[in-house]
Amino acid sequence: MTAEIIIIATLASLACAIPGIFLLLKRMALISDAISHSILPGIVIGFLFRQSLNTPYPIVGAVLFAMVMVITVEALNRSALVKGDTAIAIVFPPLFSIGVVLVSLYANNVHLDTDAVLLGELAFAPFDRMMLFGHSLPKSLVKMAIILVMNLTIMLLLFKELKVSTFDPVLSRSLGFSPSLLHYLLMFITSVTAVGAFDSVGAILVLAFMITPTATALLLTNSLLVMVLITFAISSASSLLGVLLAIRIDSGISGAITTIMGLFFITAYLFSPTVGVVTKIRNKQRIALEYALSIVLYHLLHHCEEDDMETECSYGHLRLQFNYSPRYMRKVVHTGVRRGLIEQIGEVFHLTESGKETHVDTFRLHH
Amino acid sequence: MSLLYDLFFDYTLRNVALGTLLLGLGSGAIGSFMTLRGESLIGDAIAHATLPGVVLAYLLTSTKDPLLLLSGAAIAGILGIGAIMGLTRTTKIDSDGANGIILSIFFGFGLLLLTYIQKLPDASQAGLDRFIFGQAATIVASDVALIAIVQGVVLLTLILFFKELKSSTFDPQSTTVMGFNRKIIDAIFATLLVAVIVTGLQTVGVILISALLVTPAAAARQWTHSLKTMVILSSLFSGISGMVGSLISATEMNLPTGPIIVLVLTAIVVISLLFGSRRGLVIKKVSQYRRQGHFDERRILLALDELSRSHDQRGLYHSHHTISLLVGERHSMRRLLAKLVKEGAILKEGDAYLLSKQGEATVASLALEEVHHDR
Amino acid sequence: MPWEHKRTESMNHEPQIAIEVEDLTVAYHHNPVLWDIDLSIPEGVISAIVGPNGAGKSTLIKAMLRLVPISSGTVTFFGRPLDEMRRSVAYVPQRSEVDWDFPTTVHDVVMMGSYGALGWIRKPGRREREKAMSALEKVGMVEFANRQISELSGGQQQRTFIARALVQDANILLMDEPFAGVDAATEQAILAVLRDLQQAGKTLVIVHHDLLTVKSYFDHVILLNVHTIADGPIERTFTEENLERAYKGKFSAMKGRIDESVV
Repeated sequence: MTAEIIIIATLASLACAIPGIFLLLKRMALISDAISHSILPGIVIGFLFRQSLNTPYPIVGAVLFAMVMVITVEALNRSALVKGDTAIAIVFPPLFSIGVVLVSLYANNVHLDTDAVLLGELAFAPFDRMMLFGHSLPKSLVKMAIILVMNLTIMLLLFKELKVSTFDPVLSRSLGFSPSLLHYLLMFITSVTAVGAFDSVGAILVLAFMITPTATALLLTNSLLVMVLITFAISSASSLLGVLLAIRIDSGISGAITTIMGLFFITAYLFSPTVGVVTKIRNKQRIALEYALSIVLYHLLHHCEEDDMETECSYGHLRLQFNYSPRYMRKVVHTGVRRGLIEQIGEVFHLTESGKETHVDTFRLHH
Repeated sequence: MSLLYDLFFDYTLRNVALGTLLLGLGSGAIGSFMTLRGESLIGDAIAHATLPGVVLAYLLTSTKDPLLLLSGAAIAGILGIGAIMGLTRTTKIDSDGANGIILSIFFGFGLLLLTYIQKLPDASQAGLDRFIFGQAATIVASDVALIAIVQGVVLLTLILFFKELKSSTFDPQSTTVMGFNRKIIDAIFATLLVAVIVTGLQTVGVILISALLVTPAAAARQWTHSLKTMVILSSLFSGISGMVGSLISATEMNLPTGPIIVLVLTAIVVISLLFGSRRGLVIKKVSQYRRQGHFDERRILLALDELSRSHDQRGLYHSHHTISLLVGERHSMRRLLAKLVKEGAILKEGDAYLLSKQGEATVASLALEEVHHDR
Repeated sequence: MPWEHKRTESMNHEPQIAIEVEDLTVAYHHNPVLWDIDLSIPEGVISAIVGPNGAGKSTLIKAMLRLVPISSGTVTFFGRPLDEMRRSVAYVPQRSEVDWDFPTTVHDVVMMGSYGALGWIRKPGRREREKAMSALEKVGMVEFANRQISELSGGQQQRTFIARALVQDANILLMDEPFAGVDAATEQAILAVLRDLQQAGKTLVIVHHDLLTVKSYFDHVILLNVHTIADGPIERTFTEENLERAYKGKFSAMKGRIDESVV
C-alpha cells in the first residue's frame, strides 16, 4: 500500500512539474493556481452528469472551465480596463465560488466534499481500484500515469518549440511556430494535469507541485535541460520523503510532500553554489574587497600625479573619500601593499609600477 | 421583510451581516492601493501564508482564543510578505513566481501541521479548518467587535497616510526625493494589508479573501478618475457585497457565505466593466460611435464644399449618390444627411443636397481648426 | 547659521557652487556604471548632462538623489548633504517611470509637489491648491487642470511634471529627459519655462539626448561616459575634441550635423 501511494505521488508530482517548468519561465506561475481553482465547477457539473468521478465528463467539464478562465483573463487584459494580475485575481474566485455553491447545493447526494477537493487525500487512493491487463491497480495510479505519459510526449516532441516560445516569443513567431497555439496547448495540459491531480493532491497544492521543484531548479542552473532533470529529481525525492514523513507523524500526505519541496527550495536558496545566500555573502565579501581595492588604485592613479597629492593620497583622505570603516579601509590598503600594488612613502600612498599595470587591466575588464 | 426583521433581531445573522460589512469597508479600501501598486495577487499569497501561523499558535498554546490564533496568522502573514519581497529582490524569480512559492510552502506546511493535529486524540482542535474555508455562521459578537476595531484602525491609518500612500503608489521615486522614506510607507501598506486579511479569515477563508481586496477595486476604477472616490467606492462595493452576500446565504438554501459574497462582488465588477461611466465597454462603444458619426458629418460637409468648388456654377444640388462616392458608402448616411438638414447646415431638394450659408461657415471654421492643429 | 552666513557673503561675490560631486562611483553587481565622477555645477545655470547610451546619465541624477545606492563619493547641494537640503531639490523623472493610468487629475499630480513641504500626515489645503493652479498657469496647462492624466499627450504629461516641480519651490531642479518624445512646439514651451526658472535664480540640471540643441538651450554642460569627460561652461566644454572623447568613434558620423547646428 505504501509503495502504491509513493508511486501515485511520484507520478502526480512529475506530471505537474512539466507544465510548471514552462509556466514559471513564462512568468505566469499563478495561472496554474487560478486554473486549479477554476476547474471546480466543471468537475462538479461533470460529476452530477453521471454521479461519478470516474467518467470522462468531469475532465471535459474541468478543461472547459479552465479554458473559459484563460480566455476571459486574456480578453480582460486586452481591454486594458484592468492591469497585470488583476484579471486573474477577479476571474478565478467567482468560478471557484460557483463550484463551492454547487457542492453545497447538492451536498446530500454528492460524494464530493470541499475538504477532499481542496486538500486532497492520497491515503485513500489505493482503495479505489480497477482491473487492467489482469492486474488490480488503483485508478489514480492509472490516471496519473496516462497524464504523465501525455505530458512527457508533448514535452519531448515540442521541446525545441516550447523552449524558443518561452524565452523569445518574437523569434518563435518569426520561425513559424505559433506562440498562441503553444500557449493554449500549455494551458490545456496544465488543466488536464490539474484535474488529474485534484483528488490526490488537492486544488491548492497543485500549484506547489507545479512550481516549487522548478523554482528550486531555477536557483541551481541556467540550462533548460538540466533544469528539467533537477526538477524531476526533486519531485521524485519529495514524493518519496513526503509520503514517509506523513506515515511517520500521521499527517496528510500532500502537505508533507509540499513541506519537503519547501525544504529543498530553502536549502537551494541558502546554499546554491551560484546564487545561494551563503555563497552570495562569501562572494560579496571577496568581490567587495577586490572592488574596493580597484577603486582605491584608481583614485591613486588619478590623483597622485597631481600637485594635490599630499592631501589626496594620505591615509586620512582615503578614509574620508570612501564610505568605508577605518578598519575596512586599513584592510583594503594592506591587501594592496601585500600584493605589491601600493607603497607607502611617509604619509602618502603611491602606486607601484605593477600597481599601475594591474589597474589598467582591471579597468579594461570593467569596460 | 422577514429577512430584514432577522437582520435586526436574529443574533447570528446580525453578527454575520455586520462583520462582513465592516470587513468589506476595510478590504475594499486597502485593496485599491494593492491593485494600483500592481500587486493584485499578493493578497492571495499572504492569505494562504497565514495558515501555519494559526495552527502553530494553537499548537503552542492549546487554546482557541481567536485573538491568539489571529495574532499567529498575522505574524505568518508578515513573514510571508517579507519573504515575497526578499525573493523578488534577491533572485531571478519574478513576483508571480515568488507569490506562488511562498503561498505553496507556507500553506503546505500549515496543512501538514493541521492534518497532524487533527489526528491527535485531543478533540479540541476541531474547527481550526474553518480558517481555510471561512465559516461566517460561527462569528460571535466578540469577533464582530474585533473586526470593527481592526477595520476602524485600518481606515483611520489610511486616512492619515492617504497622501503618502497615494504619492508613493503613483511615483515612488519622487516621493522618496521629497523626503518620505519608502520603507516606512511600504511597511504601513503591508501591515494594513495583513490586518485586513487576517480579520477576514474567519468569515471568508484564505481562498476567497483576495477577491474582497481586488474585485471591488477593479469595479470602482471603472467609475471614477479620482483616487479618493475610487477608494470610497471600492470600500462601499465590498461592504455592501459582504452584507448582501451574507443575507442571501442566510435564506433557506443555507448557502456558504464566502462564495456568495464573491459572486455578488463579481456581478458588480461585470456591471462596472460594461457600464462604468469612465471606461466601461458600453460607454467606450457609444462614444466611439458618436465620434464616428461626428467624423462622418464633417466629411459630408467637406465633400459638399469640394463639389461646389469643382463646379463653375455655384448653388448646384448634389445627389446622395455623388456624396457617397466621395465620402464612402455608410449605413448611417441617410440619418446623418437628415440630421444635417435639420440642423440647417445643408439644404435638401428631392434626393439632392447643397451646403447652406451656415454649412459654409462650419466648413471654414473646420479648415481653421486644422491649421491650428497642424501647428 | 554658518550656511546662511556663507550665502549672504556670496551675494557680493561670484555665484557659489550649487551641486558638488566628488569621486562618485556607482556599481550594479560590481560593474561600475559611473566611475570616479568629479564635477561641480555653479548656481544659476542650465546644465545639460550629455553622453552616449549607457553612459550613466540617468544614473548620475539618481545617484545624486540617492535613488540608487552609491559605492563611494559624496554629493553636496550648496555644501550640504541631501538630507538637509531636500526642500531645495526637486526631481522630474522620465515620463515612462510612472503609471499614467493612475486615477488622478492633472491638478492633483501638481499638488503632490507640495507634499514634501507638508511633511508626514498633514493634508494639502487651499494654499496648496492655489499654488498648484499658479504652477499650471506658468506651464500653460490651466485648461487641463481637471483632466484625467491618462488623457494627456506626451508634452502635456511633461508640463504637468514640471508644474509639480515648480510647486516644490526648489532652488535646484534635476530633470531626466524632459524633451524626450515631445513635439517641437511643446519643446519650445518647456524651454521658455526653464528660462524663466533660470531668471528666477534656479539651477537646472537636465539629462539631454539631442546634441543638436545643446548649444542653443544650455549654458553649462557635463559630458559623461562612465567617467566625467569634461564639465564646464558650454563654449569651453562642448568642443569637438571632448565630444569625440565622449562618443568615441560614434561621434564622427554625427559631426556634420552638429557643425550645421552650431553655425
